[in-house]
Amino acid sequence: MLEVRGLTAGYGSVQVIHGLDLTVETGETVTLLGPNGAGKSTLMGAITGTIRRRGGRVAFEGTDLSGLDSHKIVDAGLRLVPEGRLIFGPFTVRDNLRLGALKLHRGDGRSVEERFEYVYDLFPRLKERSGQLAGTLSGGEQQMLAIGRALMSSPRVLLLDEPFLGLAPMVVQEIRSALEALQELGLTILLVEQKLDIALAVARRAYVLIKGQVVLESSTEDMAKMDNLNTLYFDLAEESAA
Amino acid sequence: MADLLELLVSATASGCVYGLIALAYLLVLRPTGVINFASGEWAMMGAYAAYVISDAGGLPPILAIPAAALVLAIIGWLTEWLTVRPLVERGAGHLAPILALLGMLVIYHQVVLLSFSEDQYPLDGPFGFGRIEFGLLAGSYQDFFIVGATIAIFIGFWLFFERTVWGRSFEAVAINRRAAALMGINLRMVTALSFAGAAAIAATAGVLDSPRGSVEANMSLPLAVQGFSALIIGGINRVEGALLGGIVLAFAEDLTRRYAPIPSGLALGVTPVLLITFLLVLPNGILRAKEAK
Repeated sequence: MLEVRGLTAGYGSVQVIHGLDLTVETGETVTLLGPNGAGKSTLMGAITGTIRRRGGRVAFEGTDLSGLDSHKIVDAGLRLVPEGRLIFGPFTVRDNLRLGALKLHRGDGRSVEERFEYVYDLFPRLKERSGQLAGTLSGGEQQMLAIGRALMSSPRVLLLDEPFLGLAPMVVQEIRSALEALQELGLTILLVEQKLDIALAVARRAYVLIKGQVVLESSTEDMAKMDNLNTLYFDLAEESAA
Repeated sequence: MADLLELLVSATASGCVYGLIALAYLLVLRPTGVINFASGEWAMMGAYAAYVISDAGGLPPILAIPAAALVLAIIGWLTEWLTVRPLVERGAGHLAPILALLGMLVIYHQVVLLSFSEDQYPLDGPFGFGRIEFGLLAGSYQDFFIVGATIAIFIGFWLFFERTVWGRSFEAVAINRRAAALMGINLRMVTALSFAGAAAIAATAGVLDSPRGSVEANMSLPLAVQGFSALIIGGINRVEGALLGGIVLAFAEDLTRRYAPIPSGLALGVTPVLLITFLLVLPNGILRAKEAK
């Protein structure tokens, strides 16, 4: 469904992603793991068109997304919940969600009202706070809003960039169960994570990214059995340097 | 007392003109971060456009206003397309578009000077010349027309930004460009429309102001300075700040000119003094953002 081939990307004279390959099949949840600075967020930016690609190909259901503007990529059904959430603080929760639906393709029972209901069902707390300014929400609620906002356009692939970062365990649990509900509905998810425990429990397949390159691809089941999980990034970095 | 009340009406009208220029700055500044000092030239070009349209084209003054606004909207759109966009897409720094627009300012000015003689041209207001009195409040037709038209424009923009999903999209770009792009907002389109809209508003200000004086090339610089000062005084965070800043500035100017025991030439210093004072003491202007992020 989503196919990345030989992607290179970076900022200015610094190349961050070096010829990266990655595939996500319809309906599966894939996790992209890696330490700080591995290039995970850069990769997300490059796939969604907010960071310019230097080379390689991003194909989504057979259509080539390389070179398309970010708004066309959203239109194609690929949506990113960015690191740091990037909600519109001075807007109400409702207005944030409404903007999320700008690229909703209406029809087939989809309407803005239907999407509001869908998101409010998934995160009832957003409904309670719909008139509140988004900047005054707690971190967990802001994360729910960021995810809900992305779901407003009924995307076919959801990219999540470290959605659990800095959240209390209770809230992590709440967002995890929401993701599980989305998985059951058949949504395709690419989850970027640094922490192995959550990622391995949520996803079926994993890629490990070190210094802008995929150094390991494995089922999460096999990975969970590895005995060097605690030092995995370190070991893989050593290996790739050798 | 009657003297003061008459001054109130004309100062409010001047404030409205400054407020509209400040709005033109704001429309470009909020979504793009670019300060466009050519806003004053756009006002002047709008006034010339209205003069040509009503003088040569024979259109009545009331229709010359939207016609001039449309002409300038096209010029604003072209300006963005030809000078700002190529720089941004080649990854130029933040200052480059501002400098490019300063260059355009000079070009605009010289083109107008070369196309018209240095004369002053008269422009009729839609209601001609005359005075009305509402009890103690008295002013020219044009003064009252300026105030009414400006209030209507500001209400329109306020409703657009606060109440429509398109307006919210523009605001979203102002808050965070990357987040806006991730919503599927077309940043290029927003930028192009901001320039077109700003040029149209600046033109409207120029056309509204001209019947109180005349259409001339030298009207652009004072308007650019006063509009920018109004913007700083009112604050760049909210649309209504532009109007408030314009009114405050116009009252400071007119009251000083009328009542301060200083030579009238010195009264010209009011605008820069207020500008510097606000930049030093209240750099965010009178109106704060709704919520500090």
